[in-house]
Amino acid sequence: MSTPIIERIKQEIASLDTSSLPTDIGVVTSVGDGIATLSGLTGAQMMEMVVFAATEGMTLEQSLATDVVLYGLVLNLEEDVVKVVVLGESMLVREGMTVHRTGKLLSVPVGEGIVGRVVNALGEMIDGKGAIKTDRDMPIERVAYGVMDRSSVNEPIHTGIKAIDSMIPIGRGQRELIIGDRGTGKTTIAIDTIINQKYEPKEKRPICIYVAIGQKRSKTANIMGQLEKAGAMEYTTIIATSASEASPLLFLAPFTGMAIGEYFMQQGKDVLIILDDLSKHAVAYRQMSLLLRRPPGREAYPGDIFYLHSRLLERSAKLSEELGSGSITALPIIETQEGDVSAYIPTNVISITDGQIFLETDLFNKGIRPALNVGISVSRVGSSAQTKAMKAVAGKIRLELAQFRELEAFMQFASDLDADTKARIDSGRKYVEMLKQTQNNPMPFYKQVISIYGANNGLFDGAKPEAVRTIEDTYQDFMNRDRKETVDVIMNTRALSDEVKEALTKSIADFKEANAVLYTA
Amino acid sequence: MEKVYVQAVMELLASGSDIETVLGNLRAVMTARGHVKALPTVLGAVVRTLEEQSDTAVPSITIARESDASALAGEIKTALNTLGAKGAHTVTVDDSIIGGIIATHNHRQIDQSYRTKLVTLYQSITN
Repeated sequence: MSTPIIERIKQEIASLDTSSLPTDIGVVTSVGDGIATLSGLTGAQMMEMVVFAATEGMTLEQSLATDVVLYGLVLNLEEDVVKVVVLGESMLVREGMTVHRTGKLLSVPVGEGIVGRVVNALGEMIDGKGAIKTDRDMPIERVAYGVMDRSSVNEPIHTGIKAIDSMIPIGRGQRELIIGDRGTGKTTIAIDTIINQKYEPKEKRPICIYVAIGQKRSKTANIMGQLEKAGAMEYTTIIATSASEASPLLFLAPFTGMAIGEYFMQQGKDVLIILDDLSKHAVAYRQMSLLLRRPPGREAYPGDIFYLHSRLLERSAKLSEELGSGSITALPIIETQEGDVSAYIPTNVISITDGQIFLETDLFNKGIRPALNVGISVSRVGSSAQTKAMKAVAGKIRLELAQFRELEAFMQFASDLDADTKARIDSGRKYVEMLKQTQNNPMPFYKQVISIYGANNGLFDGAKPEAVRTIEDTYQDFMNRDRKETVDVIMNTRALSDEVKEALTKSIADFKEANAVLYTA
Repeated sequence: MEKVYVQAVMELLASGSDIETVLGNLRAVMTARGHVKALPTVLGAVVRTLEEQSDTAVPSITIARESDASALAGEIKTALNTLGAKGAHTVTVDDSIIGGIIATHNHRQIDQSYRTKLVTLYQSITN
């Protein structure tokens, strides 16, 4: 055997803990449906990790071959027994098996090395890229930061989606719910937001955490592929739990994501966490609670389902300067059934979050993508975080769209309408066209500002609504090629001075003159 | 309901009541209340509780070979003292632990088996 290996083993032997301190043990009295009932363990704590002696009675060779450590999580402390959810293969647990207390609340190993990796709900790597280098353990459950530890949301996080960044701006430290029926583009918005962070300067770029709760493995693999293709995996961690995993793991996944996020937030970094989705999380928690024989409430959810989500989302915060100004921005996702936002879980999460992005099937089917209903989508705190440049151009767009929605019903009688109404409808249709974006194609904020300023100042006047997107793309190319200095000023100052406005207005006139053919097509 | 009956039986036995009297009275009370169908469940639970109490109340030592009982007498004594165990203890021979001892008493355990130490060493090297 080579010397380094011998040295390494000697080093391990020297540091081996040979203490003879007693540990508390319990015995499995019954097990079923992933829940084990234990006698003993009288001093166990709520949310404590316990270890099942799954290798008890095995030979050394068998023990070494079984490299899986079977953990359990204490969730019910009863008069005589302790109920534990098995975090893994519950088929390995048998009656009479010894269970050891660890004395540690459930925690995940975290470190810089976790960025760019795919892990499971316990923070263990599942991407086959080798062990993750970690610095410390972070408790999965912890009390959220208090009022004095926080500062107000004052910095934007750009999603790269024009309709959101202009009308429903999100700030760093905010919790913005993405809600809609299946297949309306909820995950797409979240993924585009992650991809858009590559346009942020490296020092301000948030660490992104995508938590897949009970998703199909194929979907998670697809998302990973999209992020890799876009070069976004280098600042992203994926926590993947699939529908086939035990419900306790699905329950833990978002808490694991938050624990990892808090590690970076405590270092003064910004974090963006996507929880996809909390409807499945609630279902997993309901299943676990029913198996633990906790009393069911409305829709058979346990009484603390609101507390579960509020304590999770409350951990998203913008820390004060004294604590390093780090932040966690949370984008939880909720899937509705037939657009019913008044169901139990959607209303709960709507009331917890700082705003909602509503996606509608009708809009999606009409080809308006992202299928955002800007009329009922809101952001309660984000406007104070919006950049000056965006604020300067976004005011008009909301008003124009509101007027358009009012007049939309009259569109079918277009020939009977007066000129002013026709003009408003025409303008509204062009705004709607301008706000359309394709998947995985987020737009940096300065480009958004240029497009929206153009829409507000006659860029699309004289063009048909169908030509809007071509004109917008050509105009962006024109600006990047011929008016780079104006683009750079907007990008760097994030504001629209009078000079910049003047330059933009002139650029619109020049563009229209040079590209007249686009307006006649 | 069963839990209350089990608790009552355990308290009566702990206070030194005669087992025959306790069982007779239990049957009579359960019959009078129409609970007699639950009698086997209650008695089963009483037996489990008593077995568990005797299992955990008597200290147990696990060793790899019979000869270890004398060879490791010092370690066994120290472990039992640490666990607060007094009086006689049971000894189990389990060669899968390879060597060393495992002492258990009152839901507390001291594991000084070679197998556990080797597994720990293996895990710390490979992880």
